[in-house]
Amino acid sequence: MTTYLVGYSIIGFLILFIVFSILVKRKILFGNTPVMQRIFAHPLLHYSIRRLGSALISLLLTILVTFFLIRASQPADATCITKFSGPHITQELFDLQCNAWKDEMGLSGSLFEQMINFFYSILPFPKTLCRTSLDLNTMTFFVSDCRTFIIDFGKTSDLPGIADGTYVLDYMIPRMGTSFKIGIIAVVLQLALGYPLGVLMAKYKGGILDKIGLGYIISIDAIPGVAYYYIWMALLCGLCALPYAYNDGDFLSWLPAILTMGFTGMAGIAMWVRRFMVDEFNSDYVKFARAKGLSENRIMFTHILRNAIVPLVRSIPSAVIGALLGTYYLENMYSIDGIGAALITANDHHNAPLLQAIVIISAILSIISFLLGDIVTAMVDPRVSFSGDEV
Amino acid sequence: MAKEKQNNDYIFQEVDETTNVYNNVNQNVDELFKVVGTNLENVERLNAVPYSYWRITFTELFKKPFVIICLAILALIIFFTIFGPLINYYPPLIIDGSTILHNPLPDVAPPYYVGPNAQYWFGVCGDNMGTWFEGTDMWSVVWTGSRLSLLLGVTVAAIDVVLGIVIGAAWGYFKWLDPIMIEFRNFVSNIPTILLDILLMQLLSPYMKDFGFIIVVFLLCALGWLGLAGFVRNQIIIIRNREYNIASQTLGSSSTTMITHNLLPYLVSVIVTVASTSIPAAISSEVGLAYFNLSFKVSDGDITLGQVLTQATKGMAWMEHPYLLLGPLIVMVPLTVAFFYLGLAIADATDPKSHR
Repeated sequence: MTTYLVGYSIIGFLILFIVFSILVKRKILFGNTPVMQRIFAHPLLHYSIRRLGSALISLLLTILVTFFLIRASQPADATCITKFSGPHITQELFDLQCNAWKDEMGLSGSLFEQMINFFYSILPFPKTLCRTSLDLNTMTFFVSDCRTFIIDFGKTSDLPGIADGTYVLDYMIPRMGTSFKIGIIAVVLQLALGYPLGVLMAKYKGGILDKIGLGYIISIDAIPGVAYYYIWMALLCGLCALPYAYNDGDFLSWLPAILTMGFTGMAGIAMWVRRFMVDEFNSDYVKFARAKGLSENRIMFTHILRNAIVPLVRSIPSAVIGALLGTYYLENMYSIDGIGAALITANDHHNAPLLQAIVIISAILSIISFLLGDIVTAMVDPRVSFSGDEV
Repeated sequence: MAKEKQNNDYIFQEVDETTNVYNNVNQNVDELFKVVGTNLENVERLNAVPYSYWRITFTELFKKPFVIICLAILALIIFFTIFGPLINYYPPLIIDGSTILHNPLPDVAPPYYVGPNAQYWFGVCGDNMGTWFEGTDMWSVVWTGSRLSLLLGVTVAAIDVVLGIVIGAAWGYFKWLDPIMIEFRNFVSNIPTILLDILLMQLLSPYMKDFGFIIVVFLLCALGWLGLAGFVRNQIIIIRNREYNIASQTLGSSSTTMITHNLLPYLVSVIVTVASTSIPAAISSEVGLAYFNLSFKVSDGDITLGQVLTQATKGMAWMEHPYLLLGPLIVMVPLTVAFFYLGLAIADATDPKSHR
C-alpha cells in the first residue's frame, strides 16, 4: 500500500512539476513574479524537458525494435523444444512446462497481445506481481512472494545461479552493483592517468613523451579490442600473477579488469586533452597572458587547462553512468557477474524479459547521461546557454 | 659614455647586417632569376614548377620514414596472405564438398602442444577445449585467416565510406533531414551494439552457410557507416555557410553541384583519414564479433583472424603456451597498426594547409 502511495505521488509530482513549469514559462501562471520566473522558467530546465520529450520517441522506437527482433530471432516454440523435450517427457508434461515458461517470459498469445501486455507492464505506475510456480508433484500452480513494482520488467528463469521465477530487477540490481564497482574505479583511474598524460604531452609537444604517448594512443585505436585485452591478460595474469577469475571478496582479482579498462580509456582522454590544449595555445588570451609576463606553468594550468577541460567534462556523466552497464568483453573474460555478462547469458538462454530489461535500462541511462552531460557543460562553461530556439 | 658606445656598436652592427643581406641578394640574383630573352612567348610563360596537389601529397607522404616501414609491413603481410599456401603450408581443414573436417598434423600426437620450431614456424595449436584447429599448424591457420580478414576489411571499409559520404553529405546539406537523422542516431545508440549483432546473427544464421560473407559484411556495415556519416555531416555544417558557398548558391548552383564541387573537395583530407582508418576498424570489429561467435563459422570452412584468435585462446591453455596467442597477434597487430598509421599519415599529407 505504501509503495502504491509513494509511486503514484512521485509520478503525479513529476507530471505536475512539468506542467506547472511549462505554464510559468508561457507566462500563463506567475507571469509577473520574478522569483517564480527565475526558478520554473530556467532555460536549462526547459531544455531538459524538451530533450526528454524528444528522447521518448527514440526510446519507444528502441523498445519496439528490440521487442520484435527478439521474438523474430528466438522463436518461442523452437526454444521450448530444446529446453523441455526429452526421452521421459510426455506430450502433456511438455505442453504444461512450455506454456508455463511462455507465460512467465511474456511469450504466450499472439504478437499483438504480447506487445500490449509488455507496454502495460513497463508503463510507470505501481502494480502488484506475484510469483507463480509449477509444483511438479501435484501438477498445480502456487502463488508466492507478491511485491509491488513501478516498472515491471517481468520474471526470469532457467538462468544459472538463480531460482526460477526470480524478478528481473532482483537479478539485475546486484549485477549492476558489481559492474559499477569495477567500472567506477576504472573511470577514476582513466581520468587520473589520462588528464596528466594529456597535459604533459601538450606541454612538451614534439618531445619524447609526446611521441611515446601518441604511439600508445594510435596502437590502442588500431589493435583489435579483444587482442588488446588478451595482451593485458597475459601481462597482468601471466607475468604479474594476478588471479584471472573474478572473486567478489578479493580485491586483487578485480585488478586485471580495472587496470585493462583504465589503460584503455586513458588513451582517449589523453588524446582529447592534448588536442584541446594544443588548440588553445595560439589563442589571443594565451598570447596576452604571455605578453603580461606570466610563467609558462601559470599559463598552462590556470588559463589553458581550464578552457581545455570544458569539452571533456561533457563525457564524465556518461562515463560514470556507463559504468553501471559494465563491459561485454572484459566481464566475459574475467567471469565478472555484471550486466555485460548477464546480456550474453540472457541471450544464450533465450531469456526475453532480461534482454528487454537490459535494453530499456541502458537506453534510459544513455538518455539521462547525455542530458546530464549537456547540463554539466552549461554549468562549467558560462558561454553555453540553452535559452535560444537552437538546440 | 659606455652606454653610448654600446649604442654605436649596435648601429654599426645593424648596418653591417643590412649590407650583408644586400650582398647575399646580389650573390643569389643569378640563381633566383633566369634570363628568358625577349621572345614574347617565353615572357608570358610561367617558368616555375606548377603546383600539383597529388604530387606534393606524395612527396609529403614519403618524407616520413615510418610510412615506408608501414608500407613494407603491409607488403610483407599481403605477400604472405596471397602466397602463404605455397610456403610451408599444412591445410588446416579438409573441405570435401559440404563436409568439413579438421586436419591434424600426422606427425604430432595429442595433446599437440608443440612450440614454434623449424618445421612449424608458429607452433601447433593444442586441443584446448575442442577447438577446430587442434593439432593444426598455426602458421598455415594464421595466413588462411588473414585472407578473409583482409578481404572483409576492404569490402566493409569501401561500403562504409561510400554510404557514409553520400548519406553524411545529404545529412549535412539538407536541413530538413537533420532532425530525422539525429533521432535515428539516438535510437541506434540506445540499443547495445552487441545485442543488435547477436539478434541479427541469430535471425540470419540459417543462411550463414550460403551467404556467410554477405551476412558478416551486412553486420559490420549495418551501423559502421553511421559514425562516418555523422562526421561528414559535422564537417559540412561547419563549411556550409562560408562566403564562397553562399556566392555559388546565389549564382544558381544546384544541390548536387554544391555537394560534389564545393563541399566534398574541401573535405578530401578528412574523408581520406576516416576511409583509411576504417579498414583496420573493420578488421578489429570482426575480431570482436568472432569472440562472441557472431562471425564466420569455422564449421562452414571460413577462417578469419578473429576466429583464429578466438579458437587458439579458447580455455586457459594459452597461458601456459603463449605462442598460441602470439601467432595471431604477430599478424593482427602490425596489420592494423600499419594501416592505421598510414591512414593518419595520408591525412596529414592530403591536407592542403601542410603544402608549402
